[in-house]
Amino acid sequence: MSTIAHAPPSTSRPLRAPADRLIAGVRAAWRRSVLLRALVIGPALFAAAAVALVLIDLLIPLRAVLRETLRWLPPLMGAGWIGYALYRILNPPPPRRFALLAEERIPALENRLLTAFDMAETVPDGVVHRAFVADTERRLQAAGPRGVAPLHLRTPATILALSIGIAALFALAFPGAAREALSRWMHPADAYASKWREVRANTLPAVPPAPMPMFDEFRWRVQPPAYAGLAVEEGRGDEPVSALPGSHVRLRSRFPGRWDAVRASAIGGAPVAVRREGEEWVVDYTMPADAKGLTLEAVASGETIDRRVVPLIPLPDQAPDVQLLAPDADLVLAQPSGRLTVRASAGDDYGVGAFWLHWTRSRGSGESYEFTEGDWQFTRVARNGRTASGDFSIDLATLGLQAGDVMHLRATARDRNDVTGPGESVSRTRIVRIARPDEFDQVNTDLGLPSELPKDPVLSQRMIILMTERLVRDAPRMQRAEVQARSNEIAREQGRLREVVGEQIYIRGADSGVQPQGVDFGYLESGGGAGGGHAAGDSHGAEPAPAAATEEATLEAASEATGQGTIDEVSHKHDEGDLLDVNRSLLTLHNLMWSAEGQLKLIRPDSSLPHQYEALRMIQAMQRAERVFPRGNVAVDPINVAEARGQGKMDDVGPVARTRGAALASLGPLLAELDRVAAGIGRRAPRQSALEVSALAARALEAGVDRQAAALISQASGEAGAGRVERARDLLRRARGRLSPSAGAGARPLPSTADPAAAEYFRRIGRGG
Amino acid sequence: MRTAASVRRAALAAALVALALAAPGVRSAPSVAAARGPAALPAQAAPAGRGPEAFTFATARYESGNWDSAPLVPTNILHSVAQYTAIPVASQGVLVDLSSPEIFRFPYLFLTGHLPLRFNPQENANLKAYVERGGLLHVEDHSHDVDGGFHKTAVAELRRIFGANALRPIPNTHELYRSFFLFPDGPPTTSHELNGWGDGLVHENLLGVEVNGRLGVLYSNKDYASEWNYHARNKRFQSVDNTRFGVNIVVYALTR
Repeated sequence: MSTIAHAPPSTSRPLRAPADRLIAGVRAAWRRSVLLRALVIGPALFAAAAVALVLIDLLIPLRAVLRETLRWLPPLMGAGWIGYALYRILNPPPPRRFALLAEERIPALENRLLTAFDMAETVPDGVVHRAFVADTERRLQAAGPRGVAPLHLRTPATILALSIGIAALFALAFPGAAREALSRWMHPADAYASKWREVRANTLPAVPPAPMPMFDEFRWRVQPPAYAGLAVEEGRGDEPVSALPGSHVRLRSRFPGRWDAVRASAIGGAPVAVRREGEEWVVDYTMPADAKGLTLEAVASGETIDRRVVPLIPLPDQAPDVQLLAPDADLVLAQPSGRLTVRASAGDDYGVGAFWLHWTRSRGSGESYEFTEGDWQFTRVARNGRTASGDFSIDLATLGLQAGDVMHLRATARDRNDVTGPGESVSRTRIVRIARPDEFDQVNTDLGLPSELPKDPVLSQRMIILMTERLVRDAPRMQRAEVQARSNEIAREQGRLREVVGEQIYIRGADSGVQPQGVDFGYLESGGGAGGGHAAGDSHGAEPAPAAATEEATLEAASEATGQGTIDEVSHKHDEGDLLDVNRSLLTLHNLMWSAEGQLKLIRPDSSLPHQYEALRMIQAMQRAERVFPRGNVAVDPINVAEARGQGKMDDVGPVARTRGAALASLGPLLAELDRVAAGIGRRAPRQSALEVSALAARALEAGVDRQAAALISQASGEAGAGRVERARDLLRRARGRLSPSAGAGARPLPSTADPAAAEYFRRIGRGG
Repeated sequence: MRTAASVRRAALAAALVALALAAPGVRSAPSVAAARGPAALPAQAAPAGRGPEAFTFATARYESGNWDSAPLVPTNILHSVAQYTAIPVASQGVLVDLSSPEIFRFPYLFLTGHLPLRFNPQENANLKAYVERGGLLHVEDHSHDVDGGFHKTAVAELRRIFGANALRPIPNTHELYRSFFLFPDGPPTTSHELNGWGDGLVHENLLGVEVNGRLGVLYSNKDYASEWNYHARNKRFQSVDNTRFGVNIVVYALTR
């Protein structure tokens, strides 16, 4: 108290520094304590959890999936504890919490630290106040952080020591078991159940040894062929192994000490080499396209003691799917000019290799048929993963095509399969035909339509329509003089075609005995008697006249001689002339062309089009009416079978013996064998049952049955060997269901069996009551 | 009083009927089609009332080329089969799209044409399945020209479908040449060959693709399509019926 009384008055904050110093000391002690405790408790938790898990696994074997999860528990617990401690150290509580801790653990402070902490910022201004400050300063300086944060390490250190001790003792007593346990927990998926069973049998008195050495669960690894670009696949279990032909399949499993060797052979093929790697046997097999499966046999003292069948499913590599996108229809061109763009795409399940365009040019017909072909590479190919698309522009003028030539175009793609392929596919074929002069009405594209058509051939009505439509389309952008010139040009073409029709009318008239002298060709051209030139009709009609006159004179003479009257008297002649009677359709057509031509001359191409359309319709109708189909669509009367029966001459009949073809493979015997084996599983020793069932699986695969069904039978073999009869029967029943979905109907009677489980098997497959 | 020839003919006919009905290929083909669901024939339905046992001459209609170049062949061959054998026959042939599952209803399929032959992907797949399931595809080069478009493209297509080395010459001792009539010298020549038409060659062998020991594809450059493309009633004017080899092909298709 004297110190307080005699302390000089202070204008500073006298308690802050000692309070901070003490709190810093407490904080450092707390941090040290937390860190040290974590460094002991963390490993203790890890060791204890690890030892506990191994012991539990030893007593009750844990499945690989469970071990895969649980193996992270010890490191999580240990590291979690240490991590939390580090978090607390890096994020300590506020100073006031440390002040409270110091007050709790240092009784001599008598709440001076908390009070000093609260009033650290105040300046003493009275005697009592100064006396308190002096006393507090003294107490704070006398106090230290010692004992504030005790370690309490005895329990965790004991747990850690015990765990390490137990593990060390186990390792010393059973070094093999410890190694296997370590491997089993470090690589849960790669551990063998049979090995752990042996460890348990050696370390635990209550666990009996395995009744028979059996194949453990298989591990497989599939490396697909390089062209597929697929990643390596790994797996385990008795499921069928699916792989592309050419894949490298590696099978491995454990090699129990009680075996002499493992033999492997391809079902329906040759033996396969087996090599030994430590405690494992390994089979490397290159998958052929017709792979069915592998049979593995464990041999001891020359006897097969276990057999397993691994079904192999060759995955199909589909040929590419090729589509020709453009042109999207067959084309008939007026002339072989212009550029034709061909576009195609191809897709493949493992990528497209080569991709090209194939062309065939055919020329002529019938006996004078020529044929050339070749390939073009696409000028631009875009590849996107497993698809490819390509463009090719054909300059038709450079191909030397002639009228009547036909180009067949199709895209071809080849995949990258260098094992069983390459698979090759083609697109649909597009035809590009160059129209003959008399086929211009079939032109269906303006591709290659020349700007200046040759004048020699008479253009078809369809060509004239195309030209008129183009003029109508272009007219708004053209000068009137240019429109007039083109319209007149088309009108001239229409006029030439009309003249051809007029000639046809005349020829028909001549063929049908109509006197050409009476034909007013001008009437035809005027479309109803408007007058006009007679030159064409007159010139062509001059020659047949004498013959026709002579003919008529002959007929008249004959009529007079017979007294039957003339032709005119016995036939129905109406008001129409002969010409009109024969050529009514052609006359109408002629008039339509005349109207179209007139409109074109008046520079009204749009008004001309309806006449042209109607003219084209009439032409097509007449073509259809007169078309002769030399082949195809020929109506053939049905034969009269009864009438024809037995009427043939039986010379040279070969009286050779003929046999019926080989019978289709029947599943009957296989199913019967399956039923027999299923019924006998419970009555035979597990090993014998397993061998029987595995032999059945191999037989099923050899017969080419469903691989999944064979896999089920193979799994049933393992279950039967392990003595799990019910499970084996259930698998066999499922296999039977896959092999013969409708086995229930019409099946053979139920085999007699006293085994209730076997009876249940037959009942469930539909053959029992 | 029955003559020895008629007895022999009756016995042979009965044996053929039994073989045709028992042939696994013939019976299995309709079942495949049935499994895919019934579908009407696009061109003509199989004649009703005959039952599935009646042999029906099916002509394949493919997308490219002229599949209809020999329209009289089906009736002519049906007439011959009726004349010489006791095999039940339909009175008319049918057209089936090669891309349709309908082809699986018929154990024998006739295909011909002059123009380049290009199968589309569906036709490819159908044809391969058809042959593998026991059908017999009979391909006739109607242009009888080994330099012709049909021959070159058809051979290329068949090799693409069945393998590069699948199409091989059929030895003239093959069962095909004694399945009914005896042809000890192999395939009978045709007037088109002898007259020097087409390629001007007399082809000594037919070509074929064998699948599981039986002929799945029969390919001919001899142009039986032209040789047999006449109305059956005109057969009486021939001293030797030139369609007898067609009977052999049909009998082979039904019994192997």
